Amino acid sequence: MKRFAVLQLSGCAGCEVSLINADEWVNRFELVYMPLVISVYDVPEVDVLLISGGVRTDEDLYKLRQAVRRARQVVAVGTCAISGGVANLGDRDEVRELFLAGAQRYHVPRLLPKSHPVDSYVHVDLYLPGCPPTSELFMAVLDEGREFKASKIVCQECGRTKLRDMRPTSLVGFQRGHVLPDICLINQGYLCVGSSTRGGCRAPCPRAGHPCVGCRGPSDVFIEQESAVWLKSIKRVFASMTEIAEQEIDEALRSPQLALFLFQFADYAGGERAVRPKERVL
Amino acid sequence: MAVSAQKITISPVTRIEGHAKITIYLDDQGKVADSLFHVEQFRGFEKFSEGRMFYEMPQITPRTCGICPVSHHLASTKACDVVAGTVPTPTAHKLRDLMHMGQVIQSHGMHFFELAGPDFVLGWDADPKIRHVGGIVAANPDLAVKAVQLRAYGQKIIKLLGERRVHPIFGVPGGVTKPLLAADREWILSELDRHIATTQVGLEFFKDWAMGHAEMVNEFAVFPSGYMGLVQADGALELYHGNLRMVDSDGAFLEEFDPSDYLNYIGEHVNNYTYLKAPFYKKRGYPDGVYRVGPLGRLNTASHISTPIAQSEMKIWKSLNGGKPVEGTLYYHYARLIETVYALERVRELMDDPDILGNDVTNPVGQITGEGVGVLEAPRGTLFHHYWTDDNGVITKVNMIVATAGNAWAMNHSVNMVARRYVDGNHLQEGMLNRVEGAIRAHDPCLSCSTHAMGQMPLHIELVGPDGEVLDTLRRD
Repeated sequence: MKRFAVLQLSGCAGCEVSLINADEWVNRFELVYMPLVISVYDVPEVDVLLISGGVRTDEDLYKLRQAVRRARQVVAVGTCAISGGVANLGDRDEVRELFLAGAQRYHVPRLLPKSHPVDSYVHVDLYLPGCPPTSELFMAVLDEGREFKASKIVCQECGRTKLRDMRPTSLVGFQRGHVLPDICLINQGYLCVGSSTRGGCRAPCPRAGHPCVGCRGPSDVFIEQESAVWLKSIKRVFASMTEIAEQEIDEALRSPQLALFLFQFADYAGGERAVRPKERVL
Repeated sequence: MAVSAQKITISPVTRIEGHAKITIYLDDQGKVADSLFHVEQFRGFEKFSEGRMFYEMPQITPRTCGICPVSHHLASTKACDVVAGTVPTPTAHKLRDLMHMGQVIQSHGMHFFELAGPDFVLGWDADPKIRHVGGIVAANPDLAVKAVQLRAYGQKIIKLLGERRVHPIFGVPGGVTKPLLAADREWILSELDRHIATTQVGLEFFKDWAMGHAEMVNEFAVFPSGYMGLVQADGALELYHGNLRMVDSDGAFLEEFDPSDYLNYIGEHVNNYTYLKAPFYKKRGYPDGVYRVGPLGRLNTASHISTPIAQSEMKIWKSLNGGKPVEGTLYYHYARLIETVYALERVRELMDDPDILGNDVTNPVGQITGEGVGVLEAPRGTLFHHYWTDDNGVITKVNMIVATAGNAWAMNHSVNMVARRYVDGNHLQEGMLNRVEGAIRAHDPCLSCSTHAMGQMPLHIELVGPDGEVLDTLRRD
């Protein structure tokens, strides 16, 4: 029976809950370490090590380095472990000042000056982005024999219809009044980035009437390229589907005040990390 | 659930492992002199939300905690209503309430049956190798399956409304994203009775256990404090929307106020040994003004419960200490089960409400008001979201008091009492460790809203002599 462990660094436990929701694995794979559920001190030798959360404290780093030695396969799970996620917003200067002030306390782990993705420190065999990845995606990682079919992009999984004759002239920002059912959110003026965001999540957000905010990161087409290419593609989609001025889209995409890149900006905008080959991203 | 052998490590004090740490200080005779409970995460949500648009907050703040994201999502949405100068439609208000009940059901249900249950079903001194949810599956498979289904029912309600079970998409300023389908309403109703029955099995089990272990119940972290929780207009228990009431250690009325005014009543104390801030009743100061929140705090605050089955248990609750507040920490579990019944009965009330299938689920937004407070009762206690914005809705300041923080002082105090009662300073034993841990577990904490533990919480206990020398360390992660 395949043995696996779940190491949680600085995160919210949402990935763990999503894994627990996928209760199919319970009798098929042996979970040997996951402090959230069972009490085992060290990560034992395992076939698969799932790592969630970002590297935020010196203790995160210590645990990470200890754990990967005992794993045959290392999987970075969730947006925090891969690109920082929401918590990575904490890398803003004024927040880091607060962290450094907090590091003076006693008996608690020291905060690192900056949050890092897992692969800044250790080799990662497979990436499973999402905030959190759905239960289906977790099963796709654990169960190698399973046939898992994902669309390339969220758009293809959303089910909303794109209309040719419904062309907004400005961005809506957020739900003002009703979101029309069944019609593409871009047609309705929302800054939805499902057209370039990695598929596989089955598009719960746009189906619920909320624009995709890109928590799964860029699709295969963009993942090995710099972020500017990704941005350009989004602008192209809006140019072809709307009458919104290019400058407005450009500002909206780059503005930290818009929901896009809530999950990705800090990581994909910088060039400090190595490229993640698309074959290793689920 | 597959579980491997538990390992108890005695190690020198070097690094700390795990997410919570307890330090126990000894006096000359090897008796416990003091203890500290440390919470070890800090991610800075309040600070890094500055500069974002207010309407992003219902998506940002659930990432504080994957265990109770719905609580953050909805408290945030309520604050955003006020910032956006709008109110939710009656249907939207009730649908949010319904989603919140789904959260209470899944969170409370999981905690009692799957996390805390092993201590009661298998015993505090049971072999840690079996003292977890897997042991319950072996001991009582029928109950274990029903308990899993109870949690799944709460999760399903969340998913039916918000598409995602973790970090759902539902609340928007002025309403929610979509109405409830008639078929989904039918399904929710059809499942209800069996989950009430499961919870009643839990209630009977706990009452039997408490009766058979009266000595432990009566000496396990029993102490006075103030209490706080939301109440309905007539003083009944409320979990989603109402006034905040505070009562004194003897149950006497202290305050009742609109939660938006919380800053006039609640202060926050910072301790240098933990990242968790401790709130207190401002007029009394810290630590005189400390209070408890969560299931025990709420039942001690409310005068009654508005649904029949839960009210029949509430009558028993109110008689436990002759009409005075119930002080024993282990009674958190009883209160949690009573609230689970209430949440299930509340689901039925909502399903029978003529507004629930309405299609009018969003009100238009008005002028940006610049400030908004959203408060609800998360499973673990009162949760506050408070945003200030500029005229364009850009967040300039955020204050969040997370539910677990409401019990920061109480958890530390409980650990202290249990350690004094059960710890033999000359050597450590696993059963003692589990009782100390149980003092924390009873509060069902979400540590820093991120290190919530299921089953056994990673613990690191140090015994420190009067001269500061570390005598012994017991570590279990």
